[in-house]
Amino acid sequence: MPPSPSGSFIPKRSTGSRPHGVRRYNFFILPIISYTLFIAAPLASAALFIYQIKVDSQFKTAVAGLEEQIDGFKTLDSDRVIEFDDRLQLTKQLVSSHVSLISLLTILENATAETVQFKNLSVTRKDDKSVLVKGALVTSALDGALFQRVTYTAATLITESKLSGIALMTGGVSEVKTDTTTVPAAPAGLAKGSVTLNAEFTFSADKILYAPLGVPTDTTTSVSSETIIPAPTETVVTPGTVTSPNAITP
Amino acid sequence: MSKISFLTQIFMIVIAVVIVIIYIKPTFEKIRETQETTAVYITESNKVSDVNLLLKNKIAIVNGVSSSDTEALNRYMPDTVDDVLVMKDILAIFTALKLPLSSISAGSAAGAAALPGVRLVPHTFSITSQMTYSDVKRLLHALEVNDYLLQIDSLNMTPGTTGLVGVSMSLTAFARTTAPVAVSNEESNSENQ
Repeated sequence: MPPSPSGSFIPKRSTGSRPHGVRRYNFFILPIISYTLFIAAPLASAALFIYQIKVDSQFKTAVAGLEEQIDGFKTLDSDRVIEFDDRLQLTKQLVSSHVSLISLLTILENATAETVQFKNLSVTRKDDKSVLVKGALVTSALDGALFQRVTYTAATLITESKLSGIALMTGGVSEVKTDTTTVPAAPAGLAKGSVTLNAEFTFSADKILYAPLGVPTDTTTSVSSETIIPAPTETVVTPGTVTSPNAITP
Repeated sequence: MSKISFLTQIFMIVIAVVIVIIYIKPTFEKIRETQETTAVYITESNKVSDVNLLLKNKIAIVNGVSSSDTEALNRYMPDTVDDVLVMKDILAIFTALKLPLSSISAGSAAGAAALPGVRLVPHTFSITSQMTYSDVKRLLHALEVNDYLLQIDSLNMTPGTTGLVGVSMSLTAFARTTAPVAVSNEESNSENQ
């Protein structure tokens, strides 16, 4: 009987298959998540609660600031400023459309030839931008009427001029008419050969604006100074005599 | 770890989710709304502050205007026009210039009604007189330099009976209407733009 192999000093090979160790996989993800959420949620709630208090405080501060600013607004001051501004704007509006009839008459005088007289004159404001002037003129000859037509057309400060109803008088009776418009009755006493005509002018308001500070209106015209007499500033019209050809004659 | 059962872990997660749903999420939304409202309040507060500053500057400008200039402005653009006082002023002008005044009359009440869309109340006056042409210009100058606007709406010069010039003119004095004026849609739109 052979000796038992277990008594040999030679290690023996195991007879069976090598035993497989059982690997234990511990599943840690779920506990980590659960712990994290369970701790984070109350912490986040606490932080959020504190942050909410801070935000509410900021809101109250903003409300208080707005109320303070609203309280700082003085209605009386506002009304005072609005009233002042309103008054100023309306005044500006009036001043900017305030025309000087003296400037208008001066322009008309400068553009009227020496041989021409106004028998009557009417000035009417059409609107804020223009002034309409109508007048009846008398001149000694047709040449004067022709010349006057040229000078009125050449006057740059007169926006528009229109002459009509030209009539040649002989002994106070209209002899020749250039058109069929209404011609005013020829006043008695007109010299034979006198010519009457109706004139209509339109002035732009911005050219005859009133200058509060005394800035002179530009009255330059393109008519030569030899043919146009200067503005008669102190002309005196006396009954029966005409001292200035530009003056309104009775 | 292993001591906590699976159910307990699930329960902890559920508790956390419930906390998020019940408290954290609504609180977040509330905080956001509060912050938005706060931003609006701060913006409006800044606007009001700017207005207050602007008003303060304007008041300083108004206070900087001298009392004489303020009185002149109030005279030029009064709140009301007393027809009788204006007629008295016109008469004073004629007297100062030593000019005869044939007649003076105030316009009808209808003429003094405020024009639509215009914040000025016109008061019309009619004047007739006879004077020389140079006196007409003196009168026109005196009217131009008056303390308040006497706008000449029409001026007629015709041959007078005694060799003078017959003058008739229509004048208008203006007052500021204090009634609020309705702003048209176009104006309000343009202002908004």
